[in-house]
Amino acid sequence: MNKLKSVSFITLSVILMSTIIIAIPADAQTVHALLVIMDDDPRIGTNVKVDRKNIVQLLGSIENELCDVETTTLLSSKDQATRNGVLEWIRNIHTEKDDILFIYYAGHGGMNDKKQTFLVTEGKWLLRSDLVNAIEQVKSPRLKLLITDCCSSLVSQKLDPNLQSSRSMTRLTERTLRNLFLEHQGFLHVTAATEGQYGWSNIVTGGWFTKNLIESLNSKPDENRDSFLTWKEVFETARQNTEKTFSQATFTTSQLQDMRRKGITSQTPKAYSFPTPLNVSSNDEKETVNYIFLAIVLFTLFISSRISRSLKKQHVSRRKLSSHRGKAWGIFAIEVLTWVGFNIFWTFFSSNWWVVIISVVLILMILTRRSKRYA
Amino acid sequence: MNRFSSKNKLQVNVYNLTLLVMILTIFLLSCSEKPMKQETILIEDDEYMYLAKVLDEYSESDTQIQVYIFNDIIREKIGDSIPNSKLAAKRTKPENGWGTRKLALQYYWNDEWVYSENVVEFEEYFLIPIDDGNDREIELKNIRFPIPVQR
Repeated sequence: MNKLKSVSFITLSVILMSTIIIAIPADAQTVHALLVIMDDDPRIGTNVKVDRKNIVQLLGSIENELCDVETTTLLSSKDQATRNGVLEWIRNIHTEKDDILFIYYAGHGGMNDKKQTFLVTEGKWLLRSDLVNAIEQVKSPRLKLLITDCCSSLVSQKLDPNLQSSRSMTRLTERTLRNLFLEHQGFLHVTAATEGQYGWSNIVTGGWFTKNLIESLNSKPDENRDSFLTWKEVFETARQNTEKTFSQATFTTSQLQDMRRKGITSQTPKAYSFPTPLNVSSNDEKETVNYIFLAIVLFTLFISSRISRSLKKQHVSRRKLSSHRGKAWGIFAIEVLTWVGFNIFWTFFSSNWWVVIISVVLILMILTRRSKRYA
Repeated sequence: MNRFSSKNKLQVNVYNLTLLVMILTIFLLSCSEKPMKQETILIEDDEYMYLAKVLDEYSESDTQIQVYIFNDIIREKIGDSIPNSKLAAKRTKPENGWGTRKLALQYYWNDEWVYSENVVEFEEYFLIPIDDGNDREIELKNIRFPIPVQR
């Protein structure tokens, strides 16, 4: 019987301790941010300034709560927002293993006849594929973020001369920022509109996608309620809200006619890729832990029945047999309770590793008390 | 003794009938006369659109439109006649009737323009959702719409 208890206890402890190891996020690093703002455009110049303010506030929150932020801003009003300027910054960036690369673009964009989307940087336009290739060459950062708030609509090669000329957020919680910036790895590549659509903005909110993306960070759209915020969840909320903003907007007659002619009925932000969560709270890992728990419980039942059978064969007294069954049911109950408790803790406190430690201590105390009583 | 002869009776009847026909004609004419349609439009000023009521009928070729702009400041600034180019859009009744459409707009409150979404549109006012669960009723003159700009 003691063997049974020991096996159960050790296995449970190993599982819970392993969650501590998984739950520890990456150390603080540096965010290398590049903001490309087309602020001298006669049509959207004032709007992108709102976007710049919003993004600077977001970076400010990261700096206050998480880690260092090194920001470079390329403004079209200072003739800095060129294709070469952007690519050169990416080529020359020196990053460490756990650093974060953050690139944000607010300006005009479009799609050419070959269905290639591009950003209307000063001088020569920047193809999205070229930008992505350049970012992929930067090997070291754990997390790469490319957020573009621009159109992806079909544009003829002879672009509007206006385009060719160039062109309140509350403080975010430490936990939200930690989830998104320290506990993800990979490449986040998102843009304001699906191919063929316009990316919209106005003077009050700036780019609708940027506004909704930042508001999504504030609203913490934890869809699966696992207390861990993923970029996928944030983007999904931003996408829905951007579509809602589009549906509630009041357009001019000429804008409506233009959209009707082109078959545009919404603004749906597009995600090309998402980074992977590092945190323990991902559903796959939770599922794995649950399967292990199930195996332990079944194993306990199996061992218990084997012991009962062997006791019966030995013709032990009925009192001893019922005592054994009582102990077995006790252990079984503890395991099931721990299992249920684990799921509750995971749902509400997954990123707080101290909860896991307390759970282990509690199990230890309960098992010790039981073993004393049996002794 | 009859006061009227049969000839006089006939004259009275003809007179009454003529009177009745005239009254009916006037009534029908008054009914068939269409009142001027009260059209509400959105006029463009800088980066915003404001609500205005059209006072006189106009056509595409007219260079000027006679309007009453609801917002006091813009009315003082622009006056009662706007160039056709300032007509940004026409206000339409929602398909399912007033009170069924939600809009994003700015409303004037405590000396500042406040941005709000999910605002319910009625013909004579707008209902702004407030955090405490109540709605704030805002007149047409205190409403403006930021003009969307594509990128």
